Amino acid sequence: MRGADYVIRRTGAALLTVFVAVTLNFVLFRAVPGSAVTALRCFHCTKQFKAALEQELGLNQSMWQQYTIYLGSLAEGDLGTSFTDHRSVWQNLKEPIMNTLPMLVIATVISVVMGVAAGVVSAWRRGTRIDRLNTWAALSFYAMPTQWIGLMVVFYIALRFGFPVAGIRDPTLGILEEPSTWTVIADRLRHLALPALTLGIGLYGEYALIVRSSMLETLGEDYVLTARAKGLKNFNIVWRHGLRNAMLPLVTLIALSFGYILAGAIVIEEVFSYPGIGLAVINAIDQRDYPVLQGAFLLLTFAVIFFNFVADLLYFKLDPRVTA
Amino acid sequence: MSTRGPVLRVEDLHVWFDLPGGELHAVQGVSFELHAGERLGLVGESGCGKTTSILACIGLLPPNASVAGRVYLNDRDILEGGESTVAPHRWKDVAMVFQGAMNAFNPVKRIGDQIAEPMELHRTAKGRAARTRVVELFEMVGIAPERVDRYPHEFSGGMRQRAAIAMALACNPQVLLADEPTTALDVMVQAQILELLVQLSEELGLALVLVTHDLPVVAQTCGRAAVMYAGRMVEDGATTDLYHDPKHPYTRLLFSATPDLYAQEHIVSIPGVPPRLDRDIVGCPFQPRCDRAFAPCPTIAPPFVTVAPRHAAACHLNDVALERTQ
Ligand SMILES: Nc1ncnc2c1ncn2[C@@H]1O[C@H](COP(=O)(O)OP(=O)(O)OP(=O)(O)O)[C@@H](O)[C@H]1O
Ligand SMILES: [Mg+2]
Repeated sequence: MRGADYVIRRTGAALLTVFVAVTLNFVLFRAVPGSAVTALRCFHCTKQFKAALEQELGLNQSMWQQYTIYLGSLAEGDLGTSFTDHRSVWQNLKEPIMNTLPMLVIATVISVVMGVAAGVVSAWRRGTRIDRLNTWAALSFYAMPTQWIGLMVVFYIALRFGFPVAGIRDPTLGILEEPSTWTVIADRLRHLALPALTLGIGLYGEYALIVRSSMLETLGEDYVLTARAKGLKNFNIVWRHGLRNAMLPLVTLIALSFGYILAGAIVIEEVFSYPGIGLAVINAIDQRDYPVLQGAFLLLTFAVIFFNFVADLLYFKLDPRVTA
Repeated sequence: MSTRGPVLRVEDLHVWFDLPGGELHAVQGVSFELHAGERLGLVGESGCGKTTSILACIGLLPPNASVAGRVYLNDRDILEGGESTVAPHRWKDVAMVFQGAMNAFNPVKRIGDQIAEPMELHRTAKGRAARTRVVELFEMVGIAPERVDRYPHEFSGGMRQRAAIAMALACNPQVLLADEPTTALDVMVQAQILELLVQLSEELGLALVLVTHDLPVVAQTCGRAAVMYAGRMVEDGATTDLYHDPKHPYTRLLFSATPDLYAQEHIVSIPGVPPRLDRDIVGCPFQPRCDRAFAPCPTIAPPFVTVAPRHAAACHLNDVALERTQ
């Protein structure tokens, strides 16, 4: 069957990419001059201490040995131990990732909904004032630096409507009484709203422009004229015959830009002091915490590969012409 | 044909396109009638307004077009009330097969569903009944019924064209407007499709307008032919009359410009180009290219009038002929 064959092949490709990424991640961190240990600077960092540390970290072994050990521990889900707090890397990264993911998902939903709506309206009302306004707005938001959008959001929305601008949890929550699950979720959402909105606004412009142009192309197709001749009304023409075809380029774009979305998230987490993966990476860099950094890079790479895989499957589902 | 009136009657149809540089008068007063079971071939050079005319009949022109004139379907003017009076007739009474209908199907939807779509929309059939009808239509146009759930890209060009015809017949229309339905196909398939159209119009009493550049196609399939030039009708009559006794020099030149397999003499082309439609045309639009233009032609536009039984033309030569015979 067409489906099974395709899924197997895509999965194989994704796994191969994961392997390449793992290897690159290993090579990259060994290719920097010096090792994690030589870069250490502290009062008690004597030669003997460093040698002991190298021994402990296995840095005195051959590259090949290190590589096999690395692969072996990865296979067991062991990403190493942090230099700074000596907890496992996974322990260090689990919470930031769980903070960032919902933010990314909500931001993507916001940007896709806004982008598709703006793009479709623009294409349908091509050349009118609303189209010009839409295109102009999309271009502006596309061009604006994310951190600047973040500042505007803080200034115009947070201060005016009383949204929290930092952190992920109200520090006073739970002091007087045990908060109910609902309060916790609501509090979480309030903290999440502005970072997600900022990221969403930063992304929507590009999506709107892509949807507009692919929708225009689709609306010029013969089957759209046929749909009109068949008696379909405007809404149904767009809904049944336009949107699915016009969405195809967007699916690919979202998957491909996932790495870029994460980069945007790092900037936003800095602006909003949002304890997500971005802040974790920044802290790890500040403290030269190589294992955490390496672990974070690896997880982010996995995420990008995973979303590309999902996009491939989605594309396959949306477009019956895809065969290989 | 029948004793009843025409199914479709177009009277003095005009279309203007609003363009950045001004207005383009694409259709300049087209009139014709069509009876049940009749097949009319609409011919003319590229850009003369064939597609625009038939799209205007069913209100499918883009927003930058304005339309004047009357289109009667069974003696009721369907353009009168704008979108609200014409919309109910789309596909239900007047269906179309488009120029390049190879792409008439949405690539991401199953052919069968797309054929059933107008039935459910116009409530002629739904659910299982619609599906039965799709299978019936597939058999009618000669496609194996087990292909209903396939996607367009799994069909060959000829099959897609058959499916497009099946889709046009979905709601049992009275009129079928076919805009160059065979241009993208090879000659063998083209012949099969034309045969199918003839057979269907005979079996179903369908009135057919066949738009084409191809005169031999008209000769083979249509009892009647209408010739357009620069947005106007220049001649309308039985195909054999137009061929043997054309009443307009353009028709005569058009027939002699058609390559003939058996004739050894080289093809004659008509020198010159059609006039621009974005400015007023004074006199006869064909006059600058006409080999028989005379005194009135540059200044007076010839009216489109009956010149013989069931034969109309717009040429001053016919007045002269009339005067001489008097
Ligand atoms: N949407 C449009 N906007 C502006 N002008 C148009 C539009 N559609 C058609 N025209 C113009 O109207 C005139 C008639 O075009 P039309 O497509 O009806 O010709 P046609 O006889 O069907 O030609 P062909 O044989 O090439 O299909 C042409 O001059 C064309 O440029
Ligand atoms: Mg045309």
